[in-house]
Formats: sequence, C-alpha cells, structure tokens
Amino acid sequence: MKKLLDITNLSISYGNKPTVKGVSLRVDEGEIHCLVGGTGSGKSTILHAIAGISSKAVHITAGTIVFDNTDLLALDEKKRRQLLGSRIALVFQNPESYFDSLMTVGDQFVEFLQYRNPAMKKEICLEVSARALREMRLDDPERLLKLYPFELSGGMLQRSSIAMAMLTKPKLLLADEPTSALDIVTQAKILGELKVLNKNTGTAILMVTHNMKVAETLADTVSVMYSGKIVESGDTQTVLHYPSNDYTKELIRSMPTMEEARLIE
Amino acid sequence: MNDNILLETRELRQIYGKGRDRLEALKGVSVKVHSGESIGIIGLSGCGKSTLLRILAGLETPASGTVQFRGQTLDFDSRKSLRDYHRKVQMVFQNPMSTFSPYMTIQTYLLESLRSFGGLEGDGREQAVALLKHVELDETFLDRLPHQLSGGQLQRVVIARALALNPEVILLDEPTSALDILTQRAILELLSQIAKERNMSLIFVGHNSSVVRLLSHRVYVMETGRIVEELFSETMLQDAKEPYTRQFFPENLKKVVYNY
Repeated sequence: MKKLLDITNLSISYGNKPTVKGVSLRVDEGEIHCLVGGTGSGKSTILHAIAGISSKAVHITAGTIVFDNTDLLALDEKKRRQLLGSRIALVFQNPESYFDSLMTVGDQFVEFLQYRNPAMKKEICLEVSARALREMRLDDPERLLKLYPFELSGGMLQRSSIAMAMLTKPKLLLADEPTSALDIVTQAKILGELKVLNKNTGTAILMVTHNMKVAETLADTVSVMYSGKIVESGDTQTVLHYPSNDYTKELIRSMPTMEEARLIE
Repeated sequence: MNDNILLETRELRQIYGKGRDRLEALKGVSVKVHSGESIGIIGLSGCGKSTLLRILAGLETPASGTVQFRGQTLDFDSRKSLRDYHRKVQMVFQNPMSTFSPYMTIQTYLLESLRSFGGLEGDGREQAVALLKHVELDETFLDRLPHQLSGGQLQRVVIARALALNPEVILLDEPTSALDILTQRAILELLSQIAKERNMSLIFVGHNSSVVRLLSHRVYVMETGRIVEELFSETMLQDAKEPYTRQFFPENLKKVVYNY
C-alpha cells in the first residue's frame, strides 16, 4: 500500500503544556484508520494540526506531517489552505457548527463551489450539489437545498456536511467524532455512508473517536491514544481481540454490551 | 419486587403546535414504576421519550391523562402539588454544560433547591460538602466555576444536586451520551451505587439499549408517541420481537454498516 499520510515524532503544546508527545502515525491510500482515546488524550489536536486549523495557543514543537510526499508544516499559509478543501477534507462532530445558520444549505454549497471555481454558474453548482446529496442518500435534495440548517435533523445535517466535504474528491477525509452526537440508529447509517464512500471513491479516512465500537465497525487499522501518546496500534481486529496495553484493555472492557451483568439487582 | 406502585402514568397525551404544525408527541402513554424498581425508556430522536420525561418531572402539563405518585394524582395546576412532587422526583439532563450558569459557583448551584425549599442550614457549606461526597468529589470543587470542571465532573455535580432533597425518583435524560466511554462507565456505576444505597428508583431515557439495560429492571420502547414494546432488561436481547426495538442493540451497528 502507498503511504498517504505519514506523521513522524509529532509533539504539540497547548500554551506551555505538552498535549501530543512524539506521535508517529501512518495512513495508506484508501485506508480507514481510527484514532481512539478518551477526552483530553490529544487525538483531536492531531487532527487539527493535519488540517492546519489549530488555535493560536497551539504550537507544534517537533516532528513532521507528510501528506502525499509534501511536508505540510513547511508550506506557507496559502498553500496549506489550498490543500485543505481540495485534497484534504474535514467533517466535525457537530454539523451545526459546520454550516452558517443564517444561509440556506444550497447557498452554502454554491459558495463552497464558487470559492474554488468562480466561473461556475449557480444552476450548475446547485445541480452538482443535489447529485452529491443524493449520493449520501438524502431524499429530495432540490428541496433540501432550499432549507436552512435548523430545518434539518442532526443526521441529515451530518450527511450534508459529508456531501460538501466530498465535492472536491479529496484523497483524505479527516473526521472528528462524526457520529457521537447522533442516536445509535442514525450513527449506524452515517458509518455505513462513510464505508460506502471509502469503497466507491478510494478516499482514505482518518477518524477520531472515543468509541471502540465505532472503530470496530469501520476501521481497517486503529491507534489508541492516552495522555498525548499512542500506546497501541495495529490491525483493528488484532487490537480489539488481543490488546496488549492496559489502557486499551480498559477501553474495551468499558464498552457496554447486551450480555454483561447489569449494575442493579 | 412487589405490587406497590410508586409512579404511574395513565393514557398521557401531549400535543404541540396547531393546524399544519400540529404534532401529537404522546398518543396515550401508560407506564408504571414499582417501588424499588428502575425503568428504562428507549426510542429514536423525536419518539416522545423526552416529552414523557418532562411530564414525569412535572415540568410540562399533558394535554390529557394523569400522573400518579403513590396513588396521588399530580395536579399540574396547583403549585403546592407540583412543589411536593418536585421534592420526590428530580431530573438530570443530558448536557451538563447547559444546566449551569457560567457565573455560578458549584456551591451555589448545589444548594439552589435546598434554598428554595427552605432546607438550608447556615450557609449550607457543610451540606454542599456532604452532597459532593456522595458523588466522590471533594470540598475543593465548591468555589470553582463550571468551566473549570470536566464533563464527567459536571455530571457528578448535577447528580449531587438532584440528591439534595432526598428524592425517591431520579429522572435521567441520556445522562451519559455526551461523555466518553470511560467516563460513561464511571457515571453509570455511581448511579447504580446511589440507587442501591438510597433505595431510589431511576427512570433512564436513552437510545443505546446496552447502556439503558445496565440501570433498569424493565424497559419501555417508544415509537412516534406510543409504547410499542415492554421488556425485562435481563432478557431483552432474547425477548425483543419488534424489529424497531432491535435497532437499538449495539450489534445493529455492525449489521447496518456491513449491509450498506
């Protein structure tokens, strides 16, 4: 498999506090990799650093992030921006924060497309957008494009944000807990969409999640993060069934199952 | 378990909006909680489970139907009746951040209900310390502001406050869905321990059956304003007949994704 993303020895500080401590991570072309860990483990910080959207208080103190043979950290701001939103795309936990609440979904799709291609006519933009939404199995996309974000359910909004992210046919999709705010039934459907999208387009996915169950369902490979370090990584089935690290074992043990003893008599 | 019924609803109906926007959120919901028993309510977003919980909390008046606590019908028009009821039945919401004022210290927050029910002793600091102890937090939290606490710590504080009036029932609206797996486990264990020690009933609303069953004896499954199935938590995996119910089992995640 060809390397797509290669992170070596990455260290990141928030203010003076080290939050990522010498992390190395690799995602191959077309692969789905999950970064699993608890709140504050540093997993989202890494995702933001790849996307180049870290807050001002964040400093990358060591390491390299190589994407498709380009060292991202050596690029200037403008080149970085071009890459994000063309070959690297991003979806968040709360799709509400991805969309402007005062603009219709359609206008935001048009803006997204025209920003990259100013010559593209509005009708064409809307046509392209409707097709993208239909691919994410959203009914009546023409109607949906006329709606405001608050008129859509959480699941519909998340599908729309993925559809928008995929418009540029990125090679890598970064996903930050994309299903954690959704109920378990909608969660399953969104994960299904990501799987299909990965199969059909070959877009690699790097997903951050605290939920081992989500990783188990979707990922080819996983890395487990604890306190700024990757404590274990490998093939998903191997890590899940033969974990070697104590923290990984605890994460797996903590997943509620239908078979375990209940907590009240 | 005995036949002693602690809390019961009969044919609850709730309607929101009018004309084209009319939504029948509850279409005749009857549920029972025996004393010493905890129940779960499972359903999709919009099935009416949160409406049911708000009515059970006395925060919302149903269009018709009744709520009875120990055989006494709750009078939604009487402040006294509601007040007596609130003393017995307390609610914990999903998102701990949204229940706090950002400028209120943890101590003030913890003592709010005691203050309003006239149960405050002195400045209440000792009472607040005792409440924190129940949720395994120490005195140092009292003077902090909400943003200085993690999500799990905040949820512990919310639970501590719910305990202040010594309620007999605690209503939980997805209390752990905003938390990571390890924190979720810790909060579930804490709740089970508290329920056991105080012989309290929990009513736990959620969408993940593997979580809800941990803290319940029986589970009601809701779909578009109705109860569609009622199951014992212990055997729900084997007993569930409705395909709608089986969606909420974690194994469904794999099945849906693989068949996509």
